Amino acid sequence: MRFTARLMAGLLPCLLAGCSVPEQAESLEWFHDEAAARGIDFLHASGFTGRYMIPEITSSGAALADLDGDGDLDAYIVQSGSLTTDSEVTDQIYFNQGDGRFKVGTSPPDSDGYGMGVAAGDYDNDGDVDLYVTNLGPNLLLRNDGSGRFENVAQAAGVDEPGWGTSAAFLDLDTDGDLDLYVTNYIQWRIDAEIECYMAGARTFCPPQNYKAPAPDQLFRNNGDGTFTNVSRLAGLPLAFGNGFGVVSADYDQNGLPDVFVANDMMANQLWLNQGGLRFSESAMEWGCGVDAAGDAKAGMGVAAADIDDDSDVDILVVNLEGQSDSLYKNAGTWFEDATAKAGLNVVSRRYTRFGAVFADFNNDGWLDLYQANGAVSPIPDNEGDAFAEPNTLYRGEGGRFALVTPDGGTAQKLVHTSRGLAVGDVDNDGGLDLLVVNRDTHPYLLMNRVDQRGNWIRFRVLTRGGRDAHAATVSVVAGGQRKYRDVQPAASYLSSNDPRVHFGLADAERASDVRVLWPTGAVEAFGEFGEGDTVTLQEGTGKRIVAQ
Amino acid sequence: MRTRRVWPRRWLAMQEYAHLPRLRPLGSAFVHDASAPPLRAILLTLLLLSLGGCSEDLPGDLPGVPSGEEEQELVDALQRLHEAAEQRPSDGETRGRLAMAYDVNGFPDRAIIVYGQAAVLAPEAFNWPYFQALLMVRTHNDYVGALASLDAAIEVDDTYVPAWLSRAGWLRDLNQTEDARVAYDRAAELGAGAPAAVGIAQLYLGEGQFDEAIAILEPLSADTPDPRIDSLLSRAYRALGRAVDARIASARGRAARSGMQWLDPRLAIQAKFIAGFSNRLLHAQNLIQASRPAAALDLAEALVRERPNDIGAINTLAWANAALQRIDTAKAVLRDGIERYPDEPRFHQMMANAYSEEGDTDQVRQHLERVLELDERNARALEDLGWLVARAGETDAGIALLESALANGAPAPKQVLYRLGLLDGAAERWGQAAARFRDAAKIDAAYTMAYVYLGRCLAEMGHFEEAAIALDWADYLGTHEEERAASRSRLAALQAPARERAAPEPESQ
Repeated sequence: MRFTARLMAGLLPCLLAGCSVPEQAESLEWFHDEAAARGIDFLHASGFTGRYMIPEITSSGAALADLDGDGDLDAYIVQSGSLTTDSEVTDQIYFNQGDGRFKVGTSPPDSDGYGMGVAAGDYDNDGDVDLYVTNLGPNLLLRNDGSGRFENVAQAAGVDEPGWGTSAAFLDLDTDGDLDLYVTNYIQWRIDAEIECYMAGARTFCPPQNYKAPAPDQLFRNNGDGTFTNVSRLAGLPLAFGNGFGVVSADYDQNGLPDVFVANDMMANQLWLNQGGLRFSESAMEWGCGVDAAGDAKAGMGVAAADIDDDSDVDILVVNLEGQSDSLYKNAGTWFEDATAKAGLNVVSRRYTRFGAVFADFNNDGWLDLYQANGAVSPIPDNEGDAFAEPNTLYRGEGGRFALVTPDGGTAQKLVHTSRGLAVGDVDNDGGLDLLVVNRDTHPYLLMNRVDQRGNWIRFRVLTRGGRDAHAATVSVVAGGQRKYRDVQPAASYLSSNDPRVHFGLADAERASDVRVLWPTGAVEAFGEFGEGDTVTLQEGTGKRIVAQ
Repeated sequence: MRTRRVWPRRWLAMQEYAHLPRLRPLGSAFVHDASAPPLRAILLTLLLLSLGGCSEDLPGDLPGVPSGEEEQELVDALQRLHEAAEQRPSDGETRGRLAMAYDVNGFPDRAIIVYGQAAVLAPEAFNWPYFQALLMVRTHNDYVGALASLDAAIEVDDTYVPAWLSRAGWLRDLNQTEDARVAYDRAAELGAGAPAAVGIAQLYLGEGQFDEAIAILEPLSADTPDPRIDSLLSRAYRALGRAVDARIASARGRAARSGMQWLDPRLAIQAKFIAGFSNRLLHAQNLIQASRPAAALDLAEALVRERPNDIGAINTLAWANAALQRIDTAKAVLRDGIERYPDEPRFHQMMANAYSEEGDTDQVRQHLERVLELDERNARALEDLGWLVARAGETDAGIALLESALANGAPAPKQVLYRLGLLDGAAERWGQAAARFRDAAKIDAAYTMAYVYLGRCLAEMGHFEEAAIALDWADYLGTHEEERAASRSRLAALQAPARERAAPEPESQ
């Protein structure tokens, strides 16, 4: 008994405190949800009434962008609605009051479709940020009047595609100075053709492969006059497609042209390598990022791309279903290596079903961290309340390896919902990157960065000669003796659009040196050195040219 | 009741799941984390041991039978097995049957608990810790717990190949390369064949030993077409800079069906515990896809007797009959289905397939047109109808339908492009045909016939050098010898007059 008592005395506090701290996991609060306190009162509605129609489990996305041109990030959150009845719920705009608190704006134009995702970009080069909202049904092109009021011009512009649009991206793929539009499509679905699926003897949502109807993606070339032309056939898109969910662009093969990576659900991914003239070569299988290392196509949902190991090329992460690991494709120059296991993600990432995913330096230590928005697609037995709810996950990054942060999602608050869309940006301009998470059938999270002792930082607003955000430009800086690269890449994650400004964590460095920009035109300009803690505007043509286009 | 020493990890595994749903987690101490090291587990085990030792007399209460939205037939089946286990509390076999029922019907947490209990009651049985291990990885990513359970099973029988293959794969996932290699070697000794070899090749790839991996994978690729083998081979080629070989391997991998399987006979016994209409329907469909249509047929017939109006059951019964080449029966089933559901496009599509087997093109056309009336963007029907009418001489209509299939997401665009190329070629629209074949080859770098006809079209256009390149590529792929030879002959025949014209005039004397 004495031995037992001593043992209990020694072990019990240890156990209750969870004192076994594994090498891989860390415990500290990184974020705090302040959506309600800061005025984000959005309530998502999937319209689910028990029929288990597949669109009802996909939920929606959000954009963080400066919609009213006042220098801070506003929010646009997509509403799903209802597949069976006229719904009065709508998308919502929230204008930032300058300090990360928000006020609801005028409701944007309504749509006939079931809301999915949103892409942000100044497609008409008039100096304000426009939006493309994807739907199950006709998509919307919301032209900004400069004050954050929008008009739907999709039909006139020729981009009111009626299919099931998911993630979209504004990209200048022909480098002619205006933003073209890539739209990922999921499956060809009709409500009267919905099928029934069961798991454990109870109804559930069908997986996409049951429909055997993947939908080809669409590419629209910007004509420069407010209209677009569908150039999907020219680009080669009908040759390869899947159940498309995520899209992210970067110059993966470093030939000077932006390429497009598409994550497909339970089908091989696509890597569209830009050959110029809006012609693309689909090369995912050859490049090793079509399937995982074992040759399996996984349930690709969200996607993120960045140079996670500072070797100047862009790596890709695809997040998948519970039971399937993430797929981290490390760029090896002319192909991708599945580095999921080497990154420490192979086992730990399989716990939940992941949708939104972002690489961002949340603690400003110079290394990109990873946040994932999770939520199941089949009811979890014994879940109380929301049958699909799962906690989100946060990993601290270091040179291409990732360590799980506990508690889940880096929050002391217990946040467990069915999360989907995820956008990252600094909404209070305090140097800490925050997160906006859309949750199915409930309120979103606005996760304010609360990392203690964050490192130094610098941020760049990267503009074309015409003054719009230079999508696909690459900024590089030298900090702490290391050159780091980040892209202007608002379109990524799942159905969402991120802050287009380029953020660098500098750790202890007080300056970012030898700042350079590789413009989408191919020109490289040097902008010198800047002190930490500031947001600097870099505009094409105002730097010192190093390499001509 | 004899008391048996328990493997700490396996005990912990039972406890980890025993807390569901009754125990509440103590902060983060009980948050399940597959990546957490065993320190916490060992500490907990020590605590539990110190509280009273490790008796096996009471393996634990049975979890309650689900009572949510499940089908009543399923719940009743589970309840019967639950009661049997309650009536024989010390019988491992009875408890194991309940565990299998939970396992195959989609209740993994309960299955894991009850497998663990069965293992304690019947330590001489291989199945219970083995099945538990498989489930722990599949549903909870609990590699540590699963390996402990698997080791317990291997202690009972160390000659079961699937167990060693699982052990090796999980250790590989955990980056325990040397242990994984030992397990693969053991599996190979026991005759595992291709799966063990592929596993070892994956270890070589992970270690950057690409030549060694290729030495294993190349002969396998020739003997065992499997997308995973070709995908791994492609990866190895790429790493060595063999871009063309990588491209071909990845194309082959994309096209291949899985030829590498190691059946797990022990798992087969679980099938008889599948309960509930929907689970049995899914099982029947899985049997057809696993090339076991005879087994599927019995099940499908029973399902249709129970629910004659169920679309899924009717579809599956027709499918099973068609898979057994009992086309008349399949058609009869579909006719009945169409009578009940005249607007169900799947029935019309299947009927078209059935008539296609018999060569009745009129009926095929009729049903495909009905599919398109019901679903005008059905890419499969567009493609099938397009090819049908084109071969019947309505070339323009056929081309329009095939192009519509492409625009609406034809599942195999390379095939549609190939067919369009043939139609354009037949009409001597060589440039257009060449574009189609070129696109088909872009999709599938291993599509020999696309290169063969691309070469032919280019030759007809007078682009002899490009034609030769296309045919060189076809030669490199090495299949379809006669077709390649025919295109080469045509190229030579077209080139000859050009060569004669280009030859210098002989000097006159």
